[in-house]
Amino acid sequence: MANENFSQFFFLFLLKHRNKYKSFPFTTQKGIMNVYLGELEELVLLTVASLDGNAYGVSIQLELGKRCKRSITIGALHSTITRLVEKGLLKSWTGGATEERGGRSKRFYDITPSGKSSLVNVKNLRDELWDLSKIKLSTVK
Amino acid sequence: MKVQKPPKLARRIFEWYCGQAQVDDLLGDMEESFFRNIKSKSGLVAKWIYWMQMVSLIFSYGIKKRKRDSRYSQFATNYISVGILRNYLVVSARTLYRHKYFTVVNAVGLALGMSVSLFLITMLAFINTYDNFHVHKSSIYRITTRYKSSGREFMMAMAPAALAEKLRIGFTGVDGTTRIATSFFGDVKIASGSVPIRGYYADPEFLSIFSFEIVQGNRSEALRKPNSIVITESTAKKLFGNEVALGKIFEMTDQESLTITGVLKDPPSNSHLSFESLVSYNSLPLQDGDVIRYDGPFTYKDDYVYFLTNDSEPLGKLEDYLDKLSREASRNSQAEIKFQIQALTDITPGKYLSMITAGLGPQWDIDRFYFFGTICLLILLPACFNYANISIARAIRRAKEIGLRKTMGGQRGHIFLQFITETVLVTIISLCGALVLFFLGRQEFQRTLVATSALDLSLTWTIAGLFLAFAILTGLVAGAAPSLYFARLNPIQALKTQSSKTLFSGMWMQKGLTIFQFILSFGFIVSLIVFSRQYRYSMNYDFGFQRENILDITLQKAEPGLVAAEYAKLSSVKDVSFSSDIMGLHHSAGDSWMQYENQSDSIRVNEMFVDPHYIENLGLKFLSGKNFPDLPWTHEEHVIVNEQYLKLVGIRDAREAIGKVVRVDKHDLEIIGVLKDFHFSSLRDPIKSFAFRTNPANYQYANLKVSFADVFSNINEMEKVWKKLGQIAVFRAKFMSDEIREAYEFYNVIMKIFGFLGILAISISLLGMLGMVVYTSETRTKEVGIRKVLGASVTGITLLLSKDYLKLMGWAFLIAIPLAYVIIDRMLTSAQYYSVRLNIWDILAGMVILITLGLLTISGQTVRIATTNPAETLKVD
Repeated sequence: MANENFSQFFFLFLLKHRNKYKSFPFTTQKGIMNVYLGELEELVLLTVASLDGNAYGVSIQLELGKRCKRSITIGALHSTITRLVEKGLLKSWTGGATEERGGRSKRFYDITPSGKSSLVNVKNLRDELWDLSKIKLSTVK
Repeated sequence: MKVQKPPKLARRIFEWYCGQAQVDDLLGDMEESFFRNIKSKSGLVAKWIYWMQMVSLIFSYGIKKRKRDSRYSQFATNYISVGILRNYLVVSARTLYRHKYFTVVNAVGLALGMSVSLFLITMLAFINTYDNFHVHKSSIYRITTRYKSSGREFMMAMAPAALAEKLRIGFTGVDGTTRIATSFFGDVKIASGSVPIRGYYADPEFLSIFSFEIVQGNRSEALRKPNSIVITESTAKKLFGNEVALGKIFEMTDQESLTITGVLKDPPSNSHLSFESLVSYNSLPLQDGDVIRYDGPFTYKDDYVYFLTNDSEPLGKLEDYLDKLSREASRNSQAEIKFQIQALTDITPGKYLSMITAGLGPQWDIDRFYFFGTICLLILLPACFNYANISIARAIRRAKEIGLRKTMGGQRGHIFLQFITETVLVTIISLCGALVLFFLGRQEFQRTLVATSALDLSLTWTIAGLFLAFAILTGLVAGAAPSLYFARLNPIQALKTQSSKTLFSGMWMQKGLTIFQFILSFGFIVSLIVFSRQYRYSMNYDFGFQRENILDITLQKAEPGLVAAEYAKLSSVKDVSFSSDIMGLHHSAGDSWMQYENQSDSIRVNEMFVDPHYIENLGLKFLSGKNFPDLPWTHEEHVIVNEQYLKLVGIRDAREAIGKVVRVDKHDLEIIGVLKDFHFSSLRDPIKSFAFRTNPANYQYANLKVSFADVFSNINEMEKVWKKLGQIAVFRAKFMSDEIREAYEFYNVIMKIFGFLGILAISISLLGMLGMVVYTSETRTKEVGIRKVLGASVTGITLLLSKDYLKLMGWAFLIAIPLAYVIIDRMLTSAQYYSVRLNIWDILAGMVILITLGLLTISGQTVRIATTNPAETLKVD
């Protein structure tokens, strides 16, 4: 009986917190500080931030193309976005439909506070490194 | 200008791939970029980009994740829990219980339909186990012979015995060979006469190659010495009771005595080799050396060669070696010979079974299974169809339930699963019914179709599992159509509408299938009528000779002269004659080439050797001439022919032929009599040319003309005389009329099979009709009530309700009657040359029976509804 109660409790617990413990056995995700940001992830995160609330699939793709002169497939883009959402750096909501999309809704993305702080972290790290290497780089120039 | 649209196929593929996942926004993204691209690029390029985007998305992590999320969401619709399944079962059981009448009609129909298939399943399952008990089953092979002579190719299971020796010496990949000769036959002397025993001559390796279990004796030594015999347990029991058989000696009637060196367990019924005894091969007289040749179809009569490989050499090499031997054999003989190997597991059921002649064991022909399978389907599919038909017709009753389920979020898959569950439940109930029929019919089936010993139809766990799988499969087949129909039901309409479709309107397929069932039933009824007529016709046919009160005694080794002298003494015997065959049965006594006078051509004439009393005994009529002279036979000088022979040699007047000479086997014989045509062979064959000849050496039977007061005591008396003649063999006597009757027993078998299948087919179609009629009468109650109020008569309404079915039957008759004339008539005439023909009365009787049965089935319902008081039916809503 007790056993059953326990397993029931455990199951309900898992169900409730399933987003948190989803990748439980595989990662050692301890805090935002340690989240590793890939180059493309950083770019996407920054682009979303720069689009300021109007970030959805096509607009992100266009913006990236315009700024970086780099064509990225929609599949790769969505893989990156999905990972960012999983890491809690991006949030999303569905928006209204428009005529040119065949009446289909858009999914908008925006940066979360932890996303913002991880961007800041990256920037700080870079700035530190820039400061340290300023002389050398300028000499090369 | 045409408006460019994104490629539909790409979208479809994408949607299909994503399934339940939420991908609306992604589709929107793709479409947006498509319309953006189309402004700057050509339509083709834009489409190409759309495709590429689709592909890149499919392989992206984003989709993978969304799919995974959708699978575990509470709203996932492909998620079936145990609870849901249990709910389906409970709902199904309740529905079935509430509509008991329909459930019973459906279950009985399906049970009848499934019963025949159960026989097929057990048979197939059994045949699949053939020869699987041998330990070395995968390395045992047999040599078969293919020969070409006069342009035709034949295949036989036999091979020259000398091959065994050649294989053993010339080929290292063979571990053991055994020759088998099936010709062992003898009579064992016992205290009270003799017992016949049959078996194989076999090499000592026989027992080590095959895994027949040995109970007494030494497996490797038992068949080593000449004149040793190994018998089966049942033979031992028959001869010695419970005494130990090992070491005993069989005294044989005309062979050397045999020593029992072993007792084997009886070969199981799934063995293609089946024997009472094995005799050491070296007891056979010496064969003619080791030259392999071929002199005609009977060269290797009874000889079989089996061998065991040890897998050290590839089979291809063995085939090459056999090819070499084949070439050698072809050089030595007239025909082209080719020896081939056949694996033990391919023997039964075999690929070439219909081609191989003289195979051992029962011949399970694949073709026969196809035929049987077709019959099973012909019976089963109408039953499934009826179920589907009734279920769909009753959809309106379930529409509310389905509508509600759909409104509450039930998807097509759910509804489909629910109704499939219900159908499977019905088929499992039907399986129980079918099993009852299976057990009831099992013995009869074995008796009529095959030898009992060759087929084991007992119910094992495997077979029970197969039955269950079959029931579920039947459920899927029967339930597919109604389940799909229900799954597609539009919930809004289902909840709103009350009207129903009128029966059969526009449903050409259902009409067609109902007509097909009527045709099948009609076919069975007519064949039954006609075959019973054919049976009676053959029984009462005037063969042209007198067959009553003739007792045929098989002579075996008795001396005809003594037999005649002894039996003539009995008061019940009026006359004794001798013959080489029995008339009226299939003629097998042989034929000769006869050359009439100086005609250049010889004619093949069927012949029988008789004594002078025979023609009188059988009451054959002379057209001219006289009987053989009643004198002691010294040499053959006379012959009596029939009309047909004279016709063939071109003589009109019978008197002209008397005294003419025919040349047979280099003798000249004088025609001394011409007989009116009579049926010397069975009714299957037309009367051909025939001749009576004389030669006591060929006598096989004594034909006694008897007048019995009391059959039992008289036969006993005769048996005593038989013993007095010093005969050890069992007295074998039969009335000629009985023997002829037995020859036509196969009509009884046909009628039994047709009767059984016919009853099934008819019952199924009538049950289907009953279900439909119950449904119509339920839905048309109100209409009938209004009609009655407006003055319709009971007869009028009964007719109105039956009209649909009568119309369908009418169509069925239109199609079935020409078919019956073609098929059934051909069956009759191919069964025998002298046969009845299908006539108008058979057709009419079949029609009357089918219409009567149909009306009887539906009348209960139609009359009930026609006679109910409209005041009651109109009140009910």
